[in-house]
Amino acid sequence: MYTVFSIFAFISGCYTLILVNIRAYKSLMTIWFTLFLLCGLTVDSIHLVNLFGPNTTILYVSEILRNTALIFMPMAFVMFAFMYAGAESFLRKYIVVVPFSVCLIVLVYLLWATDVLIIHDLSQVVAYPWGRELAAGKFNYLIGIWTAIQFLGVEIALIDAYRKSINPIQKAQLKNIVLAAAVPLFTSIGIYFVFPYFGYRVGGLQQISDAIFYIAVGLALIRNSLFTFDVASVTQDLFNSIRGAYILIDYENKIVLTNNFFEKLTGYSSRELTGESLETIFFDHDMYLDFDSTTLSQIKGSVTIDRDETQFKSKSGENIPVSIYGSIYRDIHSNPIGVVLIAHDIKKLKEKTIGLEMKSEQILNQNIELERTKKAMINVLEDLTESKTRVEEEKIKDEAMLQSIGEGVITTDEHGIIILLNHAAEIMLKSQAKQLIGKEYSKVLTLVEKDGRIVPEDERPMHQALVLRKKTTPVESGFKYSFKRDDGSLLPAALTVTPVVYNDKLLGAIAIFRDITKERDIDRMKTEFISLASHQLRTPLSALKWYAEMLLAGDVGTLSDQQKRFVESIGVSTERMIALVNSLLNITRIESGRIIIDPQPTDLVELINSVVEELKIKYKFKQQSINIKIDDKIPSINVDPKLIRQVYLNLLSNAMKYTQDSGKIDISLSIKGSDIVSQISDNGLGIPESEQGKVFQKFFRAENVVKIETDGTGLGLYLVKAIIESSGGRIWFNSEEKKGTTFYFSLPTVGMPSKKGEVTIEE
Amino acid sequence: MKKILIAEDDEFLLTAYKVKLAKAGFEVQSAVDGNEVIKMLNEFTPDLIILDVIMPHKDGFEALKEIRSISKWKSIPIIIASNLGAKDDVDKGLSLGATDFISKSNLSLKDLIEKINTLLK
Repeated sequence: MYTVFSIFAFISGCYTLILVNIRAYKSLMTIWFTLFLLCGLTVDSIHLVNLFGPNTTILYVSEILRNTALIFMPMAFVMFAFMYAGAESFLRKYIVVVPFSVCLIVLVYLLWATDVLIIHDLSQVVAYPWGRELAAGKFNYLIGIWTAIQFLGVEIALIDAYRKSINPIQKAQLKNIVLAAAVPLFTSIGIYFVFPYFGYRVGGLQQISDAIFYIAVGLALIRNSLFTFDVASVTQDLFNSIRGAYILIDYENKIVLTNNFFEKLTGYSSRELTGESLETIFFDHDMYLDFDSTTLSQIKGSVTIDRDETQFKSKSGENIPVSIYGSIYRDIHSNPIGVVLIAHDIKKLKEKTIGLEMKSEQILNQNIELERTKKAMINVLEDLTESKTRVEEEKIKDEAMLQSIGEGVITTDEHGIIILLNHAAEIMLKSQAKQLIGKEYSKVLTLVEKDGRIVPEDERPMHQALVLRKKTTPVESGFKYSFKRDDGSLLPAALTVTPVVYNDKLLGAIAIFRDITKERDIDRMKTEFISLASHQLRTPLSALKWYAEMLLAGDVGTLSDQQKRFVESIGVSTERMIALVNSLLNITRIESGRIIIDPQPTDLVELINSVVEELKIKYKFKQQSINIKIDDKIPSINVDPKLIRQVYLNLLSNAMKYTQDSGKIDISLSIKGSDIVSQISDNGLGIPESEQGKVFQKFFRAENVVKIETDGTGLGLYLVKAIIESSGGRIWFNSEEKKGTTFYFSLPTVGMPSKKGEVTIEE
Repeated sequence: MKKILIAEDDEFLLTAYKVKLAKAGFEVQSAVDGNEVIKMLNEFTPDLIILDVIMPHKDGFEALKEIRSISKWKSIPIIIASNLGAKDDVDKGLSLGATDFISKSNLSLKDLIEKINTLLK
């Protein structure tokens, strides 16, 4: 009916049909498209058969064919479109539609065959300027809807594919088809729904829109190689799975594709680069020219390039050194259509190289430093060696000194481990230093006392030094200690043990000892001598004393007065001798340090009274007066009563002896601070000033008294001084010749320290 | 009459003892050393013994020790008469059982008699 349009559509349709089958890539897709085109041609142009005259049969047959094609057409297009767009899911869903469609077609035929649907009533043919037209029936509406739905579905699928595709060519192709398909879609909507609403019958529009569609497709085939460059078969994932920055260029060096590795490397996405010249991604123009003239031309000459180095430019302008692999890209017909370049970032590699260079320079510098340090250290070492030598020399000197000392030296550390034992010690102990050094002193050295008792560790001077930091000297230990040698023999030793402290820290102790065997022997001899002497001297003196006594007592007859006097003289002289011997013996004992001091609570007043009582005869004989004055309440103090008694005795005897008849002697006792002071004064001869310094000397008797009083040993004051000083007191005097003398002595109220000696003085 | 046994090696002192003690009314026996003292003790028991310390053969301390070890002589008053006088000797004597200690050169015979009388009371 719409003859012109139909012819137009027919021609364009045939043209596209032929084009597709010549140029298209043979596949299922192409077949469906061909089917679609055939259906389309049928729908649009079957009416032309009616040109051969109105014939009911032809009309009916053409109608049947037309409607059948009308049903099939959208289906075929959809199949094609889904395949083309790679819309697998859509395709699968669509397959369900096919049986439904088949049923529908069967139904239509059945209905038609039974004349239920009136397809076309010939009487309803209307003549329009552009041709004749039949009124559209209800069936046509259904078909219209059916077509529209499918085309809509196709459009959706195609638009979806378009959005998903990254391939610009593919995109262009899809765009074409979408637009192309949109035309008949909208047209059919318009023809079947919109225009009739407004009362317009525009049937011919269908053919026109179809024709446009065919032409568009044809153009797409030519221009965009529709079906030819089937990039839809190359999936996105494959692209992106290539490990390397992938660039696909065409023969004009225009970028066709890049993958996401490339994007990672340079920052450019495929979309940005498609259609751009390859130069865009090169760092500079010269690099590109160089690459093009050498590498690219080689690749295009079918040489595969491996490892060419050049520099790309990132989107931010950074230099990216790359290594390129390139080869030619062919289509399925082996026509070269482009070049594939795969680029690898060698920036890190370059960095590593630079890094290594820097490192090696660093190492070199370090080596120089080391050399310098080494030299410095050698210098230090030399200095140290020198110092060490000096110290060693000193040490040798010290050791030589120590070894040459006649006394034994043993030093220990703070734990009592022996660290030094000198030669003298070795000899005295009859041991070897190397056997003793390193051992604890108490384990290798035994100390015994005079009675043979082994000194327990806590009493040993070394222990006292190390634990209590106490010094021991022979003053305390005297002849007490002996070392017991390994062979059992004894070494009497005068031992001095001192702790060594530095900065309040105990470092160890030093023991110095001396062989005192001789001294002890001498001491023993002295003791024996003293004993012997005292006995040998005294025995005859006792005899003299007793015989004189018996004679005077008349035990062997009466004596005349003169005889009596003579015997008395013997007695007096004897007493003098006895006193002298006693004094001498006492002094010897004092000097050998063996006086026992036996402090007891002593009442000094009592002592004084006792002494005065003893001397009563003498001072009464001389008609001297004794005056005792006790100041304060004198407490009893801890003193050795025997010794202090001797003191009073000596001082009082002196006072009496060196004072004339009828002289006055005063005794007084007072407390002065922490001492008790005793004072004995007389108004006698006094001591001449020139002699006052010698008064306490042994055997000293002042000039002025020797002439007058021949009796006197000169030992009295010496003894007194020794006793007072051993008691912790002081003795002093003042005197004026012919006026008198006053002797003072103090005794501490705290008393005397007990001193272990061996002898007391004799009374 | 009280009997006194004297051990003394010096002849002069011994004579002096004898004369004075006899005069004081004592019966005196004498020995010249420690051994003799023991021998004599076996013959008679004195009321008092005076022992000199320094004697030949056996000195006073040894004799004293021996005497005191015999029970029947344990309680006889014994005076140690010495010319020593060191405290150790005094202590030694007393610890060995001496009743008293005198120093011959310091004590007069008169005082000795007094001491004896006191001890025999």
